[in-house]
Parts: sequence; structure tokens; C-alpha cells
Amino acid sequence: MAAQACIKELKRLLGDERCLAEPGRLLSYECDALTHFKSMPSAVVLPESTDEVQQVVRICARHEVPFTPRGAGTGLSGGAVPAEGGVLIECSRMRRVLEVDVENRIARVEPGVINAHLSQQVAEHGLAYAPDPSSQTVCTLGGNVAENSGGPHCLKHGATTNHILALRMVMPDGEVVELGTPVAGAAGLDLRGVVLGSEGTLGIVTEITCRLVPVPECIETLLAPFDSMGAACTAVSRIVAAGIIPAALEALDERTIAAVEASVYRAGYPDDAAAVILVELDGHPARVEAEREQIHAIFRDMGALSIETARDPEHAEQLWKGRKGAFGAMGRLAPDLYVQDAVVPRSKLPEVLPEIGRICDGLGLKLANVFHAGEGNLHPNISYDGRDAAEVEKVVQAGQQIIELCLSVGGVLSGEHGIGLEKQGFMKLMFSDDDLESMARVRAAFNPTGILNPGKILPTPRACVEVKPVHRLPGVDAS
Amino acid sequence: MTGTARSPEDIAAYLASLDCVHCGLCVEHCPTYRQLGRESANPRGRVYLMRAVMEERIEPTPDVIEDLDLCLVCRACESVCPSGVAFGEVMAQTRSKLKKRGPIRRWMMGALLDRKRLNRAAALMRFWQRSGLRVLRHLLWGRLKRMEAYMPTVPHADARRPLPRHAPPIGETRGRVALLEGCVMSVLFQDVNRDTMHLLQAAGYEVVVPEGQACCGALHEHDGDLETAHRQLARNKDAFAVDDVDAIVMNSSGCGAAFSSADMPAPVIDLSRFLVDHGEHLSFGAFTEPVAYDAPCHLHHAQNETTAPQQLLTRVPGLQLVPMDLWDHCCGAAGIYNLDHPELSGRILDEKLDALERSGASVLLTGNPGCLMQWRAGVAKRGLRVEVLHLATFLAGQVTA
Repeated sequence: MAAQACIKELKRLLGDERCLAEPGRLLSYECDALTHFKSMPSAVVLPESTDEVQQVVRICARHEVPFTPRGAGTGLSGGAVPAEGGVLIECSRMRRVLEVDVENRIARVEPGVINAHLSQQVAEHGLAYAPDPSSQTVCTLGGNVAENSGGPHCLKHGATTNHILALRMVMPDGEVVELGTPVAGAAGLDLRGVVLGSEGTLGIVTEITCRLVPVPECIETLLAPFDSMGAACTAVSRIVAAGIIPAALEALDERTIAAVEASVYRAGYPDDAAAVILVELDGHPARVEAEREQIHAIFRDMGALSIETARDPEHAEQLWKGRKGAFGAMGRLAPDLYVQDAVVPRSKLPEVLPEIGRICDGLGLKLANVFHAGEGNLHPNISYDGRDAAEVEKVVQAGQQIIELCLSVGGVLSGEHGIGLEKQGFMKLMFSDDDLESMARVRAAFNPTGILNPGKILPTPRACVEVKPVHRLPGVDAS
Repeated sequence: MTGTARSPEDIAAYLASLDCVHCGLCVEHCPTYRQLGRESANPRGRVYLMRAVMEERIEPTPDVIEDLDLCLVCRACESVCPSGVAFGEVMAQTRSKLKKRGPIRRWMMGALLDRKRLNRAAALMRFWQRSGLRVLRHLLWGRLKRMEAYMPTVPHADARRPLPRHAPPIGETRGRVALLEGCVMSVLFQDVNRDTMHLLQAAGYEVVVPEGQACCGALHEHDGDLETAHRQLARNKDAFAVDDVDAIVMNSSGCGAAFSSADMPAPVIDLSRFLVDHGEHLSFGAFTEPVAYDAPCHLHHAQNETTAPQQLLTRVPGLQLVPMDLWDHCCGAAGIYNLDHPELSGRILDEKLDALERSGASVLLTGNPGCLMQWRAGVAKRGLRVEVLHLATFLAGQVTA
């Protein structure tokens, strides 16, 4: 048994607290935040340094046991699901901020540092780390690099890749490489850019050098309810068409508002609106003021029911917390949740959203929409009961139909959640065989044996990982 | 267990576990996850395992039991859970099924229920602490040794005497409130009880300490002994059914959370909230040293009282409330967690002590007996010049009218 010998060596290296091989502990790692793909690792390791990651990788490589990196497990496409019987490399204990260079506005951190913690730590210097995924209070920067994560404020400030300068990475054979430079510039091929968003299939990042941005002089947060999602979406396209790039431009529908307002993140969103648009403007006060006037005019023209401005930073934070807690709040609707992630041209939002509604209605599924409207990045949230095999099947069908719809209007497979296990089957809908072959060759250049995070992104016959839905409470007929 | 009938509580716990959609917004707020980094030591992982055990997908193997047992039940996860998972309830129900209790534990938990036994144990402890017998402490072992090390100096019998059953208001009468003396509170922190009583009197309230009251059972619930917990609450419900009481005022957040979860005969209110709402004419003398506040989990997370203590402190002239990192994270006391899991409890406390040092505070205020003992032991061990006080003690020292 290669795996058993491998575990023995890993235990010797890291001890019982940092090398887990007990059945219950392993079970808790069988999925990430997308729960319908499950697969059991044979061990989970928690290294604390590049050196330890390197040793773990060498041990696994020698025993030919596949391995997969993981951050906080908040990914929504199954990217951190282990290979069956493989080793999961959990980065949660690599959480040191190694260096903050205020003068050059950069920070060097370990991959387990929590996104929001970095901003908190540099706040005293008037700086922040810009990309803000909704899970930013818990997700790790290593995970953000792997998924090239977005977030509401990426509309103006750009996604993760725009903020990462350099990486230290352990290759699948254990070699440690440095990609990119802490000084902005472009010499040679951008290998750093190749790794950003590669979902942990090219190497295991163990140090991240990122940009910090000054906290804007002036921030203004607006909330506008509408009596139809169509009008709200048209308002969004008109704002962007008018040449305004707000810091963030988000939309929530009625069902999302109800779920959020019932939760600890209640934000005071109006309960009688079919949709609300949340806008944040930042920058020079004069510019913010001019943009605010333009946006007010567009909102009034599109029939906004009201326009509210956050009273103070606490109120703005409350409005954002509601948006960012929306995904989890859907747990109030049903035991399980599937979040689709696709991008369409903004101008297509008013036609695509009702169509997604029809798809879900047709299948009898409960849909809520909360999305990055400014980027046309949709997140249809489908609530379902994972214990009902027929319903799980319908969710999978809805996912596929939504993707086909988005692609048919010129959209993209994923905005920010990645392909992972979830969407590899759809890759052929978007890419030609030649495209996929090129990607496979790039991957092979870094990861020739495929031992690192196998079975992700590029379509492969799905052997080990499967949708495993049905668990129930024994001794009870139905809940 | 297959085929066995499920109790309504089992089904309720199971349904509560289904509320989790695995979003993970809780994980970083879990003190044990921050230390250990493993999924099964965070709320999402624990819910996943509890659900798997109930569904009989897995056996409750020793690793599962250990990681469930390592939960502090601080309920910080509930404060950030968008889906409203009743984590504490699922955990209590699971513990009631899985927890094994040895003889020392049964004796200790039993002693809490009986004021006489508790007092005898306190007298014995005081004798041990003062007679010189303490030189023999290296002969103790295990939990007994840890308990001995962690126990504060037991006050003199005079200081432990019961509170008067009635205390009149000072000045104009504004109402009548009831007070719980508690178990640990009554033997180790009767001074806090007296200070609480004094503050309420100064606020114009007659204070009654109803006969027949008993330990609230919170520690038993924490330990998964739901039967005892329910019995204690029922006893107290009867004892507190006294006439014309406006509120039952609590000064121990663990007991407050337990009382709040039951349908008590009068509204259950923490002292801090009560004084914010009804003590508006109290005035306090100036205090100029930096003060930090550490929120007791069962006040902040379990009762969602997140502002009253700080609000009250703004009324002390000159008081500088300094921010302290992790102020809303558990200190590692968690009932008798620090005796059960001294190593992990110590690691959790160490992070908090670092935060306390960084804050620069010379006084640390909190509102629960377990937290007081944990912090005092930690501050003493590190040799910090910080006074750790109950909010009631501090305010009673400052009140002028």
C-alpha cells in the first residue's frame, strides 16, 4: 500500500496534530462549499512552512500518491476536493504576514492568511488589499490566488490577478520556484499570470507578494430598490454605458432580500422591492459627487422606488454585510444550495435573468439571484434538498441549461468561482479541442505526471469523484 | 441505532444540522480552529460530523468524539451564521448522547447542585490553601491537580455567607428585581453578588433573593447532562415565581444564557443592560486608567448582548476604553473546558493575553465567573500588571449615587 507507507512518513514529519488520518477527521474534508462532489482523502496534512510543503510534496511524489492544496474550503466549484485516497495539503496553519512594505505598498504573506485580516492589519497605514470575495472574512489568500477570486469591489479595482506581484511556489516534484517580481514590470513570459486562477493544478503557492492600495479619500454607498429586476438591470447597463465605473455595482432579488433580512446580517433592505441595486462610489470627493448625480438621474429615470445613501461607515458596512452573507443565508430556504457562476454581457442581463427564472420554474426549483451586476457576473442560487436524488438531478440539469443559455448570448463559463470539478464537463461547450489541448500542454509543463490536484478544470472521464446525494436520518420516514 | 424511535429532540437537532449549507463563514471565528487549523475542529466540520453520526454514515469514532469534545460551545459561530444554525442546541443534544462521565466528574458536577456540599468543599479548599498543606500539591494528579492550580483563593466563610433575602432601594423606589446567587458565584465571588446588589439598590430597586433557588444547570448542559439542566431550570422557575418582580437580573453570563433559554416568570436581563435601561440617574466617579472589555461568550454570542457593557462604561467620566483584539473571542474558560483540555485552553488564552498586552489596558473587565478565574490565572502566570474585575465590581467601586 503506497498510501499507507506515505502516511507513515508524513506522520513522522508532522506528528499526529498536523497529519490527520482518522476516519471522522477525513470525512470532514470530503467536500468544499460545493457539497455535491465528494471524495475521501487518505490523509490531511497541515504544514507550517515552504520547507514542510516541499517535504510533503516529495514524500507524496515518491509514493506516487496524488495531492491537492486547500485553503478555508469556501470554494464553490469543488477545486479543493481531494483525489480519492490522495493527500490534502491544508494551508490553514500558514498564516503569517511576513512583511508589510508601507513605502512601496506591498505585503508578503503566507497562503493561509485570511483575506480580510490583511486589510485589517494594514489599515493603520491607510492601506487595504482590494479584492473582496464575499467570503473574505474566512477565505485565504492562497485560495484567492488559486481561483483568481473576484468580489464586489473588483469591478473598478480588478480581480486577484491584478493585485498579485510575485509568488513562491512548490512544484509537483518538490522544486521551489519564484514567479514574478515584487517590482511591477514585465520581462519575459508572465508565468505568475499562468498560475493565477490555475486552481492549484500547477504548483502549491507558499508565499504571496501582493499590492496594497490606499483607502479611497471618499466612499459613498447607495441603495436603490426597484419594482422589477428588468428595470434594475437596465439601470445597471446605463450606468456603465454612461462611462461610470463604480467601485461596486451589485443586485439582489426579492427572495435574497427576504433570506438576508431574516439572518444576523439583516441590512435594512426594503422588503417590498423586487430588486435592489447596491452601488459604491469611491475616489476624489468631487468626482464621487458628480457620479452620484448622474446615477441618481439614471435611477429616477428607471423608476427607482427610492434612493438611500449610507449615513456613515457603519451603515455602509451593514449594507455590505447583508450582501456578503447572502449565500449562507439561503440555508434558510432548504438544506442545500447550489450557486451557479457565469458571466454575460451586461446589456443581456434583462433578457437572461427571466430566462433563468423560466428554467428553474420549469424544473420546479427554488431560485434566488444575487450578483455582480456591473460585471454581468450572475450567481443564480438554487436551494434544494441534497437528500432527494431526483431533485439533485434537476439541479444538475438547471446548472447545465443556465450555462448553455449564458454561452449562447456570448457569455463565459465562470466569473470567479472557477471550473474545478463542477464545470469541467462544460469546458467543451466553450473551448475547441485545440484550445483544450493547449491548456493541457501548459499544465503538463508544470505538472507532467498529473499528480497535483488531478481531475480538475480540464475534462477527464470522471472516475473517482461523483455526486453522492442521499443521506437521511435513520429511524424517521421523512423530515 | 437503526430502526430505533427518534425523540423529538433528536429530530429537532437533526433538522437544525440541515440548516448548514457549508458556506464556511463561521470557520475563522472558531477559537479551536484558529489554533488547530483542521476542519473537524471548526463549526462547519463539527456540524458535518454530527449530521453524519445522526445519519449513521459514520460511527462516533474516538477522533470524532475528541473533536466534538474540543468545542468550547462559545457559540461565536452562531453570531456570524447567515443561515441561523442553532449550533449550541445540536451540540448539546449530541453531547448528551456521546459524553462519558467518570466518578470525579460526576462528584464535581453534583457538588454544584448543593449549596452545603459546595460550601464544605470551599472550606476544605480554603484550609488546604492556607494551612501549608499546599506544599504537597505535586502529589496531585490529572484534573484534580489542574483544578487546584487554577482555583482562586477561597474567601473567608464570612465573605461567603448568603446574601440577605431582601435589600431595600436607596432613595426613591423605582421597582423590584430578583437576583440569582449561583453556585460558583456564591462561594467564590459573593463579593460580585454584593456589588451587583448594591448597584441595583443605588439604581432605586428593591432586590429580592428568592428562597429555593438553585444552580442554573448551565455547566451541566455544557457537559451534555440535559436531564439535570432541565431539572435545575424547572426548580428555578418555581423559585423565581415571586410577586411583583420587574426582572430577574443576572451577573453571570453563563447563568443568564441558561435562564434566557427557559420561559422564566419574569424577563431575564443582564446587569449591564438593566443599568443602561433603568440606571440612568446613577452617577460614577472619574477613572482615568485605560480599561479593556472582554465579552463573555454567553453574553455576547448566546444572549446577543453586544453593546450594553461598553455603553455603561462611557458613563464613567474620563474612562478610556481601549480596543482589544479578539475581545469577542472565547478566553478558553468555557465552563470547565480549561480543566478538561488544559493544553488547548492555554493556547487560546495565550493569544488573548497577547492581545491584552498589546491593548495597554491596566484594568480588564468581564462578566462571568469562569472568565474571571481564567483571566486571573493567565495574568498571574504571565506576571502582568493588569487587574481583572467583574463589571459589577468595577462599577460598584465608581458609583457615587
